Amino acid sequence: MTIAVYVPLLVAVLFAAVGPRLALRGLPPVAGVWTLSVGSALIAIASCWSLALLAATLVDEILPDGHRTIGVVDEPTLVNDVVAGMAAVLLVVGAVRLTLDRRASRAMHRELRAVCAGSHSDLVVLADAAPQAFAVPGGGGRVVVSSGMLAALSAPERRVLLAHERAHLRAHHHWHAEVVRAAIALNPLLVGVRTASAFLCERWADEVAAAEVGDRRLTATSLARAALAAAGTSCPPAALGYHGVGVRGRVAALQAPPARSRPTLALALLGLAGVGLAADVEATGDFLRMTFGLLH
Amino acid sequence: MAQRRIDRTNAELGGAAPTRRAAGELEAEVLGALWAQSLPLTPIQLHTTLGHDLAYNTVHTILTRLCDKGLVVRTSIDGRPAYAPAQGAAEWAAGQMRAVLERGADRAAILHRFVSSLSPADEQALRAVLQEDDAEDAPA
Repeated sequence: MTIAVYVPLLVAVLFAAVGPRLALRGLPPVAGVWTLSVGSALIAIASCWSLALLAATLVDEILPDGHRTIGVVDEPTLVNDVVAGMAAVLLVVGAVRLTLDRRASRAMHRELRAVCAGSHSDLVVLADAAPQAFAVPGGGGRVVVSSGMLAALSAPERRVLLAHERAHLRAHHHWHAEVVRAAIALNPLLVGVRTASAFLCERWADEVAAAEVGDRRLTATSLARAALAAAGTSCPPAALGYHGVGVRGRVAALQAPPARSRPTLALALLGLAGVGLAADVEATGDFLRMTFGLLH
Repeated sequence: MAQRRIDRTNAELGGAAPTRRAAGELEAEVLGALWAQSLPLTPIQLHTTLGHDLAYNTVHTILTRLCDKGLVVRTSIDGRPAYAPAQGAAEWAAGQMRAVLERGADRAAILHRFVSSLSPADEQALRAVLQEDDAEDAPA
């Protein structure tokens, strides 16, 4: 348990360092988004499990004195009470962060849905000169576009925009965003995953839109025009924005041939997350043996 | 320029079998086209603007449906029926949406941050992309 229990934390550092970069450079959007979501979730679970095991070693402080001398817990090689205490604190902080994050997210989505609920159309138009567009998930989902954005684009370009936002809704990109955000709330080491995941969701929707209108070049110009129209106007932050993270990178990607699928790279990243879980299983075994030793 | 882009798209689609799209998608497209214009459009103008596989009758049906839903209002240009987007609901939605998105600083973190400004280098690069595209479209 002395080493295995810390492996998931090391895995989190490694995954945060290489995962986003490899997903952005080497994976097609769909594989990249899934790899980052599943990987982050597994690593968040593994690191919380580790923290829980470390915190649980504090149990020897609570047990009556008679038991303490029998167990292995007080052996100097095992978990130091200061480390165990820190683990307990981190676990509680993570739980609080997750709760607050979920609550804020739910409240906002409820309010966004309330604004959209009055509309009898899949497209909710905002009478607003500032160009903006985003998707609001829930209840079939709505595409929200400002009149400024609609006016900035030609008819074929508007088809790209609508197809892009519908792709977010159909592929449930908000779930991926929620999973990644929850993982980061539990383990802040994963914070670097967020931007990469958001960018790859946009890339995914771009490719779906390009396939739907049958024209990657039109998709690229549509994006460029929307981004330039919005540049300089002050837009409020928006959900899964049409020209959110890194428009230039998305335009460049649409001008290049589609990325090859590389299953080995995705599997390697998920394997890394798996190592964290395996280490936890090992550490749990040690912990149980130790606890039995303590109680008998 | 816009018309040329439309023509190109039609040419590139090469008269392929019209893709079947859900009624909601067609409604969104028609509604979007009406909002994009500052003046009301006749069904014929709208059909030309949309300029792809939509049949004129379909445009007409969708307009009727949008009118029934109160999303579009019927007016007239020189005695011919024309259609304009209904302003009220969209103005209400714009105000509500702004309030929702601006309430509290943590909102920005929850939502994917909408990039309101590009870096000067990004802007230049994107303008170059559009210019290149227009140049390729220009007749030889």
